[in-house]
Amino acid sequence: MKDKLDLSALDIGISSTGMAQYREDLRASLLVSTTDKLNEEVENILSVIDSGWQGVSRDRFERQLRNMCELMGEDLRKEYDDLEARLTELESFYYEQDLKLIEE
Amino acid sequence: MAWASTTVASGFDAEQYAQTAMDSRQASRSGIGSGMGNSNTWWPFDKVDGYQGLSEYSVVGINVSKVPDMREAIRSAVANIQNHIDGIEEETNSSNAFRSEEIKTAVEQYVLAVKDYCKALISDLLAFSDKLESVHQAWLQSTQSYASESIDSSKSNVSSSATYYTEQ
Repeated sequence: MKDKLDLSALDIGISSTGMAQYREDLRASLLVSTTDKLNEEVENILSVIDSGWQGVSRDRFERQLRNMCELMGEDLRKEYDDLEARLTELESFYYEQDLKLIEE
Repeated sequence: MAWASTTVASGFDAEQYAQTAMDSRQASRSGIGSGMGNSNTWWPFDKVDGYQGLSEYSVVGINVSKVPDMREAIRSAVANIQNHIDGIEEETNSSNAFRSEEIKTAVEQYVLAVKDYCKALISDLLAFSDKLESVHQAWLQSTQSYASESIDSSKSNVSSSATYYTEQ
């Protein structure tokens, strides 16, 4: 790469490395940690339920709760994927802008 | 001269009274499936297969006093996850990714909208709190109905068959 400046020297611009890190940071916070937190809280819920309910219906309740959490996790992933697509488009926008600003 | 000998047999059939009462009671007894019948004719539990092979549990039921705690656990879980999402900063390291105040604001607002969607999605877990209340009410209603329609009915049958013999 021909870089002589980094992003800190600019008021308007983009860093592909910075964008990659930004997308990864958002994935870790929005998607991974939220999904982990969801799974952690489901276990907390079930430990309370286990203290006062037993039987086939209780097992089915657990299955339905876990299925719902799985679906929510998938939906969170889709939401993140959509966000990532928008950020990729943003990155493309900057590079397109730079490419087309002055014609050869 | 022969002694007069006349014997009179007792025509009083004492056994008839008890047998009639027992036969009457037996006629009002019902078997398994229609109430509290003679359970010695069939036992639905098997040590290997559980209840008719449908349940692995020898103990089933719910502690209704703990249902509020269960519901609160779900509410707490939802609040904890939503607070976790709130803690995610919109401008996470964007200064190393892109520069432009307008773009920065727009991206922050977009991430905020995504966070709001995630929080709304998580709130759907509260439906399971309502489901717990529904389970609670279903247990109460079913046991109340069974008590009044089956057990009370059977008790009435027994009570009506309990007639005391009065000496004549």
